[in-house]
Amino acid sequence: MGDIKKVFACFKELKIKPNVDSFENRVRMQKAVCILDMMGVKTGFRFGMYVRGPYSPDLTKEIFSNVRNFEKIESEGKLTSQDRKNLEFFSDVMRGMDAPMLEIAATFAFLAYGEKKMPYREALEEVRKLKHFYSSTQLLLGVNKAKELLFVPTEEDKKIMKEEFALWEKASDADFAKVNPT
Amino acid sequence: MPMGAGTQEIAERSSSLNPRIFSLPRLLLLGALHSLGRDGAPYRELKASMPNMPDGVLFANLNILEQMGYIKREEITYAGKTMTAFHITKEGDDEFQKARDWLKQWIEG
Repeated sequence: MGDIKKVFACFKELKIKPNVDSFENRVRMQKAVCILDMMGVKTGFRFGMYVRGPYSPDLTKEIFSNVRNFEKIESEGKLTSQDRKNLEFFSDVMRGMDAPMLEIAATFAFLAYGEKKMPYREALEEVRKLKHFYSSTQLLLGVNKAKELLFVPTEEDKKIMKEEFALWEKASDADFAKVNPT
Repeated sequence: MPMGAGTQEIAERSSSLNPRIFSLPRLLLLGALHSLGRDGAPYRELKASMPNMPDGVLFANLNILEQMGYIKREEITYAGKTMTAFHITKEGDDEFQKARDWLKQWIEG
């Protein structure tokens, strides 16, 4: 069973009020906990792929059961300094905690960075299928948010990036030399 | 084929089931909504998760499940839009659980 006290402590940091009457807020809470788990803020709730993307039935049950004692429980949740850093980063990237954005980001993150480790292209295709009612712009923004939060470059990625950036730097140096001839 | 004691028991237990839920669309819908409990799902998400089910079939089966009291329809607001969502009722949950247990017992023989 997951740690609902820690979940509520996270919501407090993120300024999310655990209001279960709103469908939108319930989506917001589920997807935030899912992404945070992948970022290393572990609360122990297990997520699986459901109709609406990654979802934890146990988390819903716990939120519903404890929402009335939210204020008492949130103060009992323990967060490490690393958790707080991750929460700050998450809050910074997910400004406004837009529910559809969280929904898209969580779905892509779960497929690309979760147990399945789907290649980006396949994960994106899957997100497009599952969330076809969102515009391409919304989908891309959500996917980019997930990458911003969770992408960790491998040695191969770093090599490719270095080669790519070297070309840009060379071009930039050449331009600079034209504007400022010695 | 001779009918073993297990098979007889399974046949007897089937009398407590509602045969009207034994259609693929209804079982799929109940299964999907069972997992989401009180949260439920908007129509568009159910549709997206069952791409091979035509709109008419999906809608008709949702209506039948609603008439049987196994699911409930509600209007929700999401991202500034009003949409129709469905969630499973206690009766629906119990019936789905009964059907699932029965199928499991049958398969495991």
